[in-house]
Parts: sequence; structure tokens; C-alpha cells
Amino acid sequence: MRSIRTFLIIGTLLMLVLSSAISSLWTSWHSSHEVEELFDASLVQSARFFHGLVVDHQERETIEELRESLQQLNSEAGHWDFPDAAQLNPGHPYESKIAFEAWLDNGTLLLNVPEHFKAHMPTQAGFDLLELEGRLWRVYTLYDPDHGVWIRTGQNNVVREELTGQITGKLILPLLLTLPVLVVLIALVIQWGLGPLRAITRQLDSRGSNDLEPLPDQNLPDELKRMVEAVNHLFVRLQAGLEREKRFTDDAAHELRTPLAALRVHLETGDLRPELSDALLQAVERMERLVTQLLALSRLEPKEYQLQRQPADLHELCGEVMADLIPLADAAQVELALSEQPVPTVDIDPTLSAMLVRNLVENAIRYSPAGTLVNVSLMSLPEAVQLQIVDHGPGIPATAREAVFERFYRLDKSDGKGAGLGLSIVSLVAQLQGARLVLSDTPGGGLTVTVDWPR
Amino acid sequence: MQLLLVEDDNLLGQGIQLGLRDKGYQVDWVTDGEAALAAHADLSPDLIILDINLPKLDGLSVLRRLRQAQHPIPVLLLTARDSVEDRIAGLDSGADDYLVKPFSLAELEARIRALYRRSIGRQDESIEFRNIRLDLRAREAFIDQLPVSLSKREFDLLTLLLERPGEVLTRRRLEEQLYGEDDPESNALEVHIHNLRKKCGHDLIRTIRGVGYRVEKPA
Repeated sequence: MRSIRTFLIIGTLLMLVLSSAISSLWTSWHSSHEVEELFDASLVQSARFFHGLVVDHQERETIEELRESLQQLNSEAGHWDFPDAAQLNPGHPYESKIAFEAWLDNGTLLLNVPEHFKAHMPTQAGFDLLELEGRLWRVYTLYDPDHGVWIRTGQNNVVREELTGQITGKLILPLLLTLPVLVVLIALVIQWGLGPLRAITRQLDSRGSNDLEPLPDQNLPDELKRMVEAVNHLFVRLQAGLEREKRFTDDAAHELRTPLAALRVHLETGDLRPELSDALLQAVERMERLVTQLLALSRLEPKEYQLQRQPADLHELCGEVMADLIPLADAAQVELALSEQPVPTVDIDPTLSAMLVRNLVENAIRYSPAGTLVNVSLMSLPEAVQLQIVDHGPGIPATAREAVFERFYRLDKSDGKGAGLGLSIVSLVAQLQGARLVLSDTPGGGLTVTVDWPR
Repeated sequence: MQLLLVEDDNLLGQGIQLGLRDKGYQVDWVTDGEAALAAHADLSPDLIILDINLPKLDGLSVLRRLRQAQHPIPVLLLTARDSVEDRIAGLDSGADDYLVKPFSLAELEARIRALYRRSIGRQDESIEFRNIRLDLRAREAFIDQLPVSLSKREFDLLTLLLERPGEVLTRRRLEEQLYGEDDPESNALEVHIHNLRKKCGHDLIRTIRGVGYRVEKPA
């Protein structure tokens, strides 16, 4: 089953069509039968009436008058088979002309109207089907033994069937007409009934990847309530797992700090060969940086982090961060520069943003060859303040530009420069504050990082 | 100067003790909170370096007890926790400064000196840097022992820079220190820097474009 909705709609429709077909067939068969009965009854009634007339006129020997008046009556009717609404005395659409015959016991045809209605001498009373001049007639024969008279009334069978068809057709029509309406209504009801399911899907869709807040389970249909409860239960367990992981990272990082401090202090005090102590200090610094970044990452869990937005001057913020990084730049013999022109303040979380700028500039310094410039510029765009950090290092090939944001991803595992967390932090921070982050090539080689902070 | 070091990690405690002794400090080292209080009573040190995570009595409790007893002794907190909340908790308990592990000995020593200076309420009377000497009392500047005439702003600016050799001072920070709330003319700072370079040597002050200024640390 690919879709509950399609399944329900098709299933319901099939059943609806089936039940309509059955009820239509039943109605059609039953109603046409009843209509036949009614026509037959009128045939009998006409026979009795005609019989009265014939006997009466025969006694008064005025059969010819009867014939004439009947023919007169007959000629008033437009068409023999089907009534014409435009005639003088409008009849009824279901009125069906009745033909008459009267025979005597001795085989004489006493009277027949119209003239083409002329069968053989009847021999048996009751209903029958006759073929006269290529037409089928439904006939009824009445025998009066007292006067020795046979009376036969007939109806053109085709006309009868046509009328029967019309009548039953009109009975079935509403059934067929309501079908499309029902189809539409059923589709609407099913669509509406599945609404809560769509609402939940939408809610889950619009979530951030780390949002494990339980789904609201109020006002839900029973079936969904149980499902949502199960999902919420899963969320709770997942959340607990994530928190355990986060706590572990946090604790581990903190526990690492004390031995690192000891290592550094001993290195600075001890009498090691300078190149050895330099190398060891470098390793210690890398570990310190890794610990700091791990802590930053564990704190940046989007769900947990409470943004402290306030209007801030990015120029000042970059200046302060860069001032802190000058010793690093000096050690790497890299020059730092920041654009001079002021930019409008933007609503940002200053701590987070400083973390972002620090990581980007630090990266730029670490990967820049000695003697090159890392240029940081701020520009005011109509909808954003744009930060650009341009270095002349090895750059990042276009194919790796998504992967570098993953934790512990490193382009060159042997460069000894980092743990591959800096850009993860940067992208998390950008994402948290709704800033847009783009990596591109510096003309002539190197990496250009562009961050647009919405104004 | 007599220091009391309270650190439960043997490796780190030993390292700090050794490092500071090398620099001429007298360092007593204990490893838990109760011992810290006892040692403080016995030795009356000039300054305490206090770790937060300690057995028996944690660092913040030690600090609170000291402060409750009205001891004004300067306390430098050492901690592995560096979130803003942790800092606030530390300073609220009465710490004078707060140093996050890991740190370099030089930084630790700088903090100790600054705290100590503050505690005895005395400022350095003069700053010497390469061939420059600033007499902070008399507000006079000398280069190679010859007096140089500096304006008030120039003297203040040079003091700010020479107090922190090697450190970059952002333009904003310098302007705040020099002018307070008053808005300086946009290029006033550049003019002062220009004049200082003319008077004290062109290679004294380095510009970090867009960021600020600094004097290079002597190698």
C-alpha cells in the first residue's frame, strides 16, 4: 500500500460503484416490472370498457357509429405510436394508444381500430404477444360467452418498452447523477480525515535536525495519539542519549584541562632542548585548542543554546578577536589586516560570533604561508553585513567544501594543524544565528570565507 | 612574596610550585580545602592560588569562609570550567581574578603580580622599555636618558602601549582609555601615533591595519 489516502479513496469508490450498480439493476428490473404490470392493468381496463361499449352498441345496432367515433378519436391523435404534445387535447407522455378488436364467436370481425390492427380470431382469453405486419403487440383478450363476443386490446410493444425504459431510466438517473458528487465528497472527507497526519508530518519536516521536543499530543485522533506517543517516547530516549554524549564530551574536555595545564607548566619550567620543548609546546597547544573546540561544540547543541542576541558592532568584534590572534599571526609570520570603514550594527550573539570569527581567522593564519596577508573585510550590503576572510593558503577544493564542515574532517591529515573541528563550529554558529556561510577560491589561490549576517 | 598554592592535581601542583619558585616566589602547596584554611592561618601568605575542584572542601567554599572571616587576601581562582556562569560564580564568591586551565606560567605570573600590586595599592612608578623610560609620577618621558616632551594625550597613549608590550590594543580600547565618553575627532588617534613615532622612533609602534596598535615585545 503506497498511500493510505489513495487506498481509501479507491477502495471506497469501488464499493460505492458496486453498490450503485447492484441497486440500479435491482431498481431497473423491479420498476420496469411494475410498469409492465401497470400497462397490463390499463390494457385489461380498456378491454372491459371497450367490451361495455361494443355490447351496448351491438344491442342498439349502432356498431358503425362506434367505429366512426373511435376512428374520429383516433385521427385526432397525431402519431399512432408516440403522443404529440402539440395536439388539441394534450395527453400524457406515458399515455400509450390502445388498439381494439371485437370478434364474434362465428369468426366475424365486428370492429377494429385502427384498421391495421387486425389479428386472427382469438381463441383464448388472457395476455399474449402477437406479431402484426412486422410489429410486436402486447394484447389482452376478453371473452364474453353471454354475447358471444371476443374483445382484444393491444399496445405496440416497442412503444411500451420505450416508455418502460423511460420511466425506469428516470428512477435510476438520480442514482447515477449523485455518484460523481459522492466521489468528490468522499475524497474531501478522506483528505480532511488525514489532516492530522499531514499536520504531524509538516511539524516533523520543519524541525531542525537536533530538535527533539515532544510533538503535541492534544486533540489528536486515537490512532495518531498512540503513534505520536510512541514517537515522543523515542524522542525522550534519544534526547537522554544525546545528553549523555554531551555530558561525556564536556566532562572529558574538562578533565583533560588539568593534565594539559600540568604538561604546559612543566614544559615551561623544565630544562629541555629548545627545539624539543618548542615541539612539545606546539603539541600541547594543539591539544588545548582541541579541548576548547570540543567544549564549544558540546555547548553549541542548537536545542540547548540560548542565543543572547544584541546589537553589536562587527567591526569592533573582529578587531578584538584579531588583536588576540596577533601573537599567533606573528609566530606564523602572517600579516593580519581589517578593513577600515565602519558597518551598521547587527543583532548577533557576540560570544558566538567572536567564536566564529576567531575560528575562521585562526584557520586562515594556520594555513597561510609565511609572508602572506590574511585580509578581513566587512561590507555593508542592503540586507546583510558581509564578513570576508581572504587568505592565500592552499584553499579548499570545491569537492570538499561540504565535507569540511563535518566534525573531525581534515583535508590533509598529516598537516598537524588541527583536529577538523573549527569549521564545524563555524557552520554551527552561523546556522544558529541565521548567517549564511560560503566558501570560495581566492583569486590567485587560497580560501575566501564569506559570512552574511542578516541586518 | 609568599604564595599559597591549593591544587589537588599532583602533577600540576608540582609544576606550578617549581615554575614559580624558579621565578623567585616562595610557594607553599597544599592539596585540599581544609589544609588550605589551616595553611592560610599558619603561614599568612600574601596571595592564594586556589583551584575550584578540591577534595574535602571545594575552592569556592574555602573562598567564602575566608571572605566571611573578613580576610582581604587576594585570591586567584584556577578552574577547568570557563563558561560565563562559572566565571560569575567565582567572582561572586569573592575571587579577585580567575584563570582558566590550561595557562602559561608567564600568564599566571603576570596575574599574580597584578593582583599583588593592586592589593598593596601601589602602581609602578616608572615603565622602562628598550631605550625609553616613563616616569609615571612626574609624567616625564626619557629616551636614552634625554627628556622628550610629550603632550598629555601622547604620554597617556605611550603609557597604555608600553604597559602591555606585544599586546595589540584596539583603536576602540585606546580611544575609550584616552577620551572616556567624549567622542574623539575621527583621526585624533592617528595623529597622536604619528607624533609619537616622530618623537620616539618610527619602528616603536606597529599598526595592525584596521585593528589597532602595539609596541613589539623585545625579543
